[in-house]
Amino acid sequence: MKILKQNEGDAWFMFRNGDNSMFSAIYSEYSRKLYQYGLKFTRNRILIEDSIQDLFFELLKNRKTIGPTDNILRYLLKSFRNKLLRRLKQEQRYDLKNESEEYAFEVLYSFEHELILHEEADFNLKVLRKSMLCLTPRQKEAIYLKYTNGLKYEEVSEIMEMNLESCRNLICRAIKALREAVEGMRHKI
Amino acid sequence: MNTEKYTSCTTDEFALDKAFSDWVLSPGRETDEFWAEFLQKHPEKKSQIKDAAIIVKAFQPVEEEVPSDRLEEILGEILRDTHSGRRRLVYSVLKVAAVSIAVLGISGLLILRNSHRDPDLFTHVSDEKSEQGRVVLSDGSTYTFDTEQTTIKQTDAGKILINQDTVEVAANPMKSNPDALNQIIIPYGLRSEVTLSDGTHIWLNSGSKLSYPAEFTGKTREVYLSGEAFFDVESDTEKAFHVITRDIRIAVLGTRFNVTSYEEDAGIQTVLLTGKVNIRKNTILARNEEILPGERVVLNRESGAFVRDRPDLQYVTSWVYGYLIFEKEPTPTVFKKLERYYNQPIITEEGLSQITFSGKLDLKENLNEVLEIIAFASSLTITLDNGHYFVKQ
Repeated sequence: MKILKQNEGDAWFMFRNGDNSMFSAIYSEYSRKLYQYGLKFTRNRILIEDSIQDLFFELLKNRKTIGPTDNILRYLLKSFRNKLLRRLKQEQRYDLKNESEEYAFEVLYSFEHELILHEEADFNLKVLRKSMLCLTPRQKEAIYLKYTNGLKYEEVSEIMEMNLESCRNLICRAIKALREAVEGMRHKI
Repeated sequence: MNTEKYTSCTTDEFALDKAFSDWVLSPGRETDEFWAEFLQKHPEKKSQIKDAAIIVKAFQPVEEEVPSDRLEEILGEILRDTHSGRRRLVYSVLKVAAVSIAVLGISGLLILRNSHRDPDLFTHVSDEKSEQGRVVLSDGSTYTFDTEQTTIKQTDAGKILINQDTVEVAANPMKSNPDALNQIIIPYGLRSEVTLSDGTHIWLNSGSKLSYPAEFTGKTREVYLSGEAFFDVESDTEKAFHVITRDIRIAVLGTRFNVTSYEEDAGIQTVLLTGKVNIRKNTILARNEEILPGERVVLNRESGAFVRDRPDLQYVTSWVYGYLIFEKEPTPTVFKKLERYYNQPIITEEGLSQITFSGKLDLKENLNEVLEIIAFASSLTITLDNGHYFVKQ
């Protein structure tokens, strides 16, 4: 699968020109990433699987007409997100209690995982967790895309459909809040 | 890289810098050297770098497991939909399915936890990534094999022979615990013939798991099964032999019978050849059901009902002898069996269940040859595309 890493533009081009092995390679390289991204929005695995199926089905069907890209992951994340959020919205129509436009984005952070494992975790981690809990879903999502998927600001803002400046602000504010918590920890010692 | 760029960086700027976070999350020799050099030149930056690293690390999520098998199934669906030119509306179908799952969940509460000592006794073998067969001893030590047909013998002296003389494993007597179970895991594509310490003979079909104690010390001889197996139980009127599956328990004295309990199948089948067998569901109020020789009892997982019939016995046990016989079997069932046996995905078009197949398939032939025979006999079209077999009318 390393072929993909070398030149994504070429891999995409070959796929669009009918190379089925490239399609399988793209699927096996990215389907797990999409699935894990989806799990942050919803626990409903059926919705996630259906969106993945939809996305790749359409890719195959429209391979002649889709445009070029030099960043397959960004392309896939963006259209997967659109499909999944649309489905989630359809779902919520029937749920009268939930009328907000806001979506959920829940991440279990690895240090929290340790907190759960060792109940008497140290004070510092608890402080850190407290400030993480204050992050909004959009902040968590932007951070997830930047730090876990290694994307640039431009890519994050395109996937989340917001302008570059607000995307940058979103992430900067999250970092600032966390930094203040971390510095607070230092002064306590 | 240029160290000057970082001399006036704040904690936030470090945390936001891609090169910095890449180094924190996946350090390498070159980047380690770069940042060590930077810190040597600018020791005043140490606490900022430390804080920034804490922040970057704090953002690391715990990712849930996504089974590779599931992803492959989805790919299969996509290829099938593409082949047929239309996308099936999975979600609307699954909404109905979700209701029946909820009902099952409630009845599931009644299940007696008679086997809570090990939760993975009935986990599905196809969830395993390994293509090798394995023997996992009660102390955790694992022995693998990849022979298509493997013989495994548990001697009464606590030794295990795998393929006669290839491996000989002596169980550790210091750690021996009479309740501890050994496990034999046979992935799709492989089969095994097992002899237990009491002389009972078991043929394990592809995609099956058998858990059993090295020695039968209790009042009954208990083994756990997921998948398909043919049992030839050594008679012992003092100690009944129990086969426990996720949904039912089969109690026998000494007899020959076949059990099919695959996770993905709708029913659990028990077919008795000789002797006498009682089966009961793993629920509190379950009654014993008696099976007579030549009878087949199928428990429907969804309705919880038992259905009886008398199949031709040679069809049921033919897999033990390396071939499959079918008599007017719906073709999807035929392909499902071949898929397990050869560990090769076969994607069938919908609506093939009206087409049946009768005949004998020699499983020593390779899958291509076997599929050609079926295609010829049932006038189906079978194509190989990208490592996937597609079947259509």
